[in-house]
Amino acid sequence: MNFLKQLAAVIVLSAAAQYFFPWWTVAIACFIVGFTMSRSGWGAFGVGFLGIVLLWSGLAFYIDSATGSNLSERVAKIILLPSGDVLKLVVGLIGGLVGGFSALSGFSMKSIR
Amino acid sequence: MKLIRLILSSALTVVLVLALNRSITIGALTIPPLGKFLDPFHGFWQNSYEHPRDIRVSGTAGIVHVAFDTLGIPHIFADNELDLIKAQGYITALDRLWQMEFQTLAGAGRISEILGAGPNNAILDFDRSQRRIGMVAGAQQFMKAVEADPEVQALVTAYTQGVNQYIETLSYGQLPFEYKLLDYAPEPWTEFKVALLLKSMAKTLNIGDKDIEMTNALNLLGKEKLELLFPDYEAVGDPIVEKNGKWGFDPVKLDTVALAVPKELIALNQAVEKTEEGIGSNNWAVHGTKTATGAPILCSDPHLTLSHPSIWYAIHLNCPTMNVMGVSLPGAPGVTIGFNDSIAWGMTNAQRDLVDWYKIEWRDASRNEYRSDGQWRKSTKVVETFAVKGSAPFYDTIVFTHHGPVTYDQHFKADNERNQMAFRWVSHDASNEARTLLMAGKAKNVSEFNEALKHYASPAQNFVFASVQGDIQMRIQGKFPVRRKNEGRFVMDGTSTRNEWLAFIPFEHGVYELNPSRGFVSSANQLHADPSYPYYITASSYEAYRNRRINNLLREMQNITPAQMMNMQGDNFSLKGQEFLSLAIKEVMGTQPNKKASEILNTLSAWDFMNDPDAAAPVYFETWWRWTYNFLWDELNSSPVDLPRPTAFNSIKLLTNPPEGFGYFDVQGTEAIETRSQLLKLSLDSAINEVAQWEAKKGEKATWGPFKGTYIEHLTRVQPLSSFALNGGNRESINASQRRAGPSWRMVVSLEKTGVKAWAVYPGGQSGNPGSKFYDNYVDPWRDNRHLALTFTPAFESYTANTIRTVTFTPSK
Repeated sequence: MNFLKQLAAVIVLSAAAQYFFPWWTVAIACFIVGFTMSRSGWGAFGVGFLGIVLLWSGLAFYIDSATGSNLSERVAKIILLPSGDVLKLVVGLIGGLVGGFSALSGFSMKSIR
Repeated sequence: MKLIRLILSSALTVVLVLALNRSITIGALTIPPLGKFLDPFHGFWQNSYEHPRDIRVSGTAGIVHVAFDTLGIPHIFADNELDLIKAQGYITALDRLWQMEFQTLAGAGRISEILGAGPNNAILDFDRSQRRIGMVAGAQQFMKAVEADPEVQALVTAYTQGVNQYIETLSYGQLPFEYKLLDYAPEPWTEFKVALLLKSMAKTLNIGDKDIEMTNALNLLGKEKLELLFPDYEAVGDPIVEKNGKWGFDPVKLDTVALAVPKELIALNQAVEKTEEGIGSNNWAVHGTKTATGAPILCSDPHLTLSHPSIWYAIHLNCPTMNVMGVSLPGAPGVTIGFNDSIAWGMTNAQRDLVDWYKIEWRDASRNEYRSDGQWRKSTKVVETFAVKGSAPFYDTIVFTHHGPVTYDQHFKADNERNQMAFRWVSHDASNEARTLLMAGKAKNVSEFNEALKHYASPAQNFVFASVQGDIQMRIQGKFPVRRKNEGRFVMDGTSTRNEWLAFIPFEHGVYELNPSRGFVSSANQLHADPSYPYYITASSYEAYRNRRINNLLREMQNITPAQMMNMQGDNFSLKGQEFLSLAIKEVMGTQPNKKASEILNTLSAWDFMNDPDAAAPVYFETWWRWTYNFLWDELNSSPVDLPRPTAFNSIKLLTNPPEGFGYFDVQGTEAIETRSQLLKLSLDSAINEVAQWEAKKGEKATWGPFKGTYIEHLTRVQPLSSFALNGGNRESINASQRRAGPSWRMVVSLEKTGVKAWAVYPGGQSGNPGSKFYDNYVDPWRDNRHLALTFTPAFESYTANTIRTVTFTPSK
């Protein structure tokens, strides 16, 4: 239950931060969740990672289906990926790593006190 | 332990964020900043969206309404010209900002700022050559002409304000896709960028020359061979205007001789790109006496490099003083090729030598002074800075003489210090083409249109014109020096002012024809006038095939409809194929060809000379012709210095009727001394071999469309942003679609008294955004030569019912 709450917090906070600020503010959002809510290092990493994967890949899938644009297919080819769908997962993975490590950093900061 | 975890995880997070926030260059490959670029909130995903359906902008004097029709073409309605042009700037930037800026960066020689120096410094060398031919200096002259014309100045300022107003609305998320991919941001637009853009266009069209090669050829081959291989006048027939001596004026005469060709051969790696082969165009207009409706029809299709975003942006501009539609150059105000309620106009490039190289004699190694008429004249030096991305700035000193900049010297592409070439280019001069376009857009008849042309200097164009009143006209307009015989064909001696451009041909002495008795006017980059024209004309090359095909068709046609004219713009007939094969097939038939060769000869004998996409014959013609051409002139390849190559027309002429002792049939690298038929046989075998290899590689029978592989390339050369359009045609067909160049805007205008009607198509789409469905939606219709009906009415309301987007400009409060 707590994991789901944390997950929701990561997604909502990150989305809100990104709405106004550049992409890297997800690191701050995840740091805060890790700092205030997480109970273990693995848990923090997992929630930061999964939260951003869901947020970024989810939004990428949404934009693609809402716009019907083929831009993701073009970009996938530019960066040598097999398809736009793979790109959407890779996008999540990249954001997820930042989310995971920043949440872990937040938890680590808390545990040091 | 916990401390170590904190340090490690924090450090990793920071490193990750920093790494994903910057682009990384590995060799020629630049990887965009992955976090920033891939983030769906701001990154490239945001470019998947079309612009909003309803956009509101403030800052105009009155209200401006814009509606984009379902083709993506904006119709802009304003109550004064300044608001209209300001809105044009904003709207053009909305669709094409990245392209506009990229083209002006190229014009100014600044591409290495965003792409780095490139492999073997190729990009930096391009930038240096841009500055060394005087692009920036020419643009500065252009600005002087603009500043001297308050009306034009105000419009250029308004356009600039419009572009900047759009740039100011942009946050990272809304930046055009390419800025994100290449990781930079737009700088403010300036009036100077308008000048750079127009000079870039001039360079595309009029920088063609072969003076250095011709000088080498003269020294190496002698005068007789030179005139045989590279004659000034090829007697192709059908010049643009024929008056057989009835020109009706006394020409300006220069009583000096301008000839002093340097003796030594010139060894240079020329960095200035030649005008690309295939950059040419067609235009024609038929008189009402030859059309079904009795109204004139005007057709124009300029041929340019095929690129995304397209070189053209279609637009409709309306205010109480004008109602004009057509294509604009993104980055320049007004309409370049188009029509209004009363007239229509189009352009093809006027082939004329407007480029000279002057050899400079310096007083000493400092290059501070050079010889001119026995005196020492002072040069000026400009240190140019190149802010190369990813490395230290590069500095290049360019020496200017009164002729122009010294393009080639010991620091750039020259093998020894004797090669000091100053560049004289007509586009260095101040001129006011922006005024021409403004006045043309408002012109109501032929005399007003000609008034507009008086301001037009470069790049020289063949202007086709037709009006609702029923006039048709062709006028070759540009700033043309009065040349003495042979002047301009070779490198000139720069020490004597006698060799310079001493006078220019007056407007009244220009080549033109109004309502000729044949009932049509036409041009396709051929010779301007019959040999009775009182001025000496020379050019690097003239078109020899399309122009005759156009005239052959138009002479025969009566009761012409716009639909026939549209079909004619897609005509794939190859006169070159007909003329070459009428000799070549017969010759090789007599050499006992093998089975495969006989088969191909049969295919070619049965060919209707149409370069159609699904036909095999054009594949064999084109490859056979190319091998023949290369074998024919392979003697010229062994030269240690650059030599010109004869034209296709002259090559076929010399193949057909070789003069006594013509020593070029031998194929180099073989034991035997070949005859003409052996040369043709060898080249056919080579062609068959080449096609067989292509077929083996592709796993399909060779047909012309796929074999030619017409390719519309994005300006960044990134393949996934580019398109193929596997159509027919070739450089000698009216449908001059080659692999990388072709008809860039096919327009047909019927000038009916009840309302001007127009159809057009271009290889691209209105939006420069690769994520938009308007990015490449014209490519398939263009490939199939399907014109789109343009909507052109003076009532804004007629556009609002069927619009994809409206933009409203209002006065600021």
